Amino acid sequence: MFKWLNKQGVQSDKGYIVQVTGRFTIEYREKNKVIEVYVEPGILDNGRFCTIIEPHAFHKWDDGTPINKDRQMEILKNFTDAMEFQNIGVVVHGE
Amino acid sequence: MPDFNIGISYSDTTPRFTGATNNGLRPMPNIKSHHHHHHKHKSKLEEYGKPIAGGLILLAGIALLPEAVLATMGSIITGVTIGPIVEGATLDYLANSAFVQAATRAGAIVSSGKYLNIHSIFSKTKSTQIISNEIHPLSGWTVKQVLSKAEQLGLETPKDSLLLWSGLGSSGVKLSREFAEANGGMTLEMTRGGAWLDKMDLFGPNSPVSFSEAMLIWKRVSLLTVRNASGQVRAVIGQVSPKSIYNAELREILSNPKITGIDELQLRPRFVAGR
Repeated sequence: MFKWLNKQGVQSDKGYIVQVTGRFTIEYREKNKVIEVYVEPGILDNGRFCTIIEPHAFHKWDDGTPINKDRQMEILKNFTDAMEFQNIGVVVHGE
Repeated sequence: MPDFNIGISYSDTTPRFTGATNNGLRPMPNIKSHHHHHHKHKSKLEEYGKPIAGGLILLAGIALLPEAVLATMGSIITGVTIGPIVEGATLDYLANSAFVQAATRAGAIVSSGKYLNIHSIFSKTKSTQIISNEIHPLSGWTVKQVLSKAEQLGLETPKDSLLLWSGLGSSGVKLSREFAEANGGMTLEMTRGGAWLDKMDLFGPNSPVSFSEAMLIWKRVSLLTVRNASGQVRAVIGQVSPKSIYNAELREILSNPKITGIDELQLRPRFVAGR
């Protein structure tokens, strides 16, 4: 479940926040940990908008702390769920 | 989230709230109509407010009003002054009131909710203001109005000048501009309409539109720019995804008979977006 924080930001009942911060940046936040994700706008085959992210987008927190593979997958899922809630698809570039 | 559908008016240079509703019937506002609408809705505000002494009672009543009316009221509350109606309501009340929540549903930008100078209940002398930088300059604009304004300002590029870019990361606007300045050409962001849109910054917590609406606006403006272009088009690109909007631009190029061809330049062959 998500709640809107504003028109471009949502918070999950799991506690994480996904907030668009710029034309090419979206912030993923868990408590005091943050990842600024570079995104490029795209269009899915069905015409729906999507954000294109890099495969390494969730390799580490912005403070440099590395993120293990399992957590990367979890964060990617969280991020995708939050974007889907906003009716935006997520495409990992090159995958 | 609701589609954004609150009315606006334009001043000479910067659009401001006047609290006017936009039900799709009113034409694109213009400078001449600004004062008219402002006056009209200020009067409406007074009309609602004068007969009722208790602002909170009125607020409770407002919460029951149709959303079209709430849109008007919401605009007022997020505009410069709330005025006599809700003047004096407490900060917490305003932030949590059914009125504000309903106005938000109607599209008013009150989520930031940073009200200043809210004083004792039913004060008749203090005014309520919203922090100026919390109000997005396009608050109240519809997607259609934003697109019209960008187009009106101009999305044309001289023949052989259009320079597209994609896959250059968050500094793509800057990189492509630098390339254009050094080698000639004009990017979307260098057209009058594109520069205006870029400056308006439709992305972020303060944006008046949803993420998908903001993307839609940029996509439409981008395709309009390609549609207006002629001659040879150039593109500076990094790592371009097959899903990128750039591919939609390429399709638009193919359908534009005025465009003779496109020269793609891999500006940073090893560039990987985001690194």
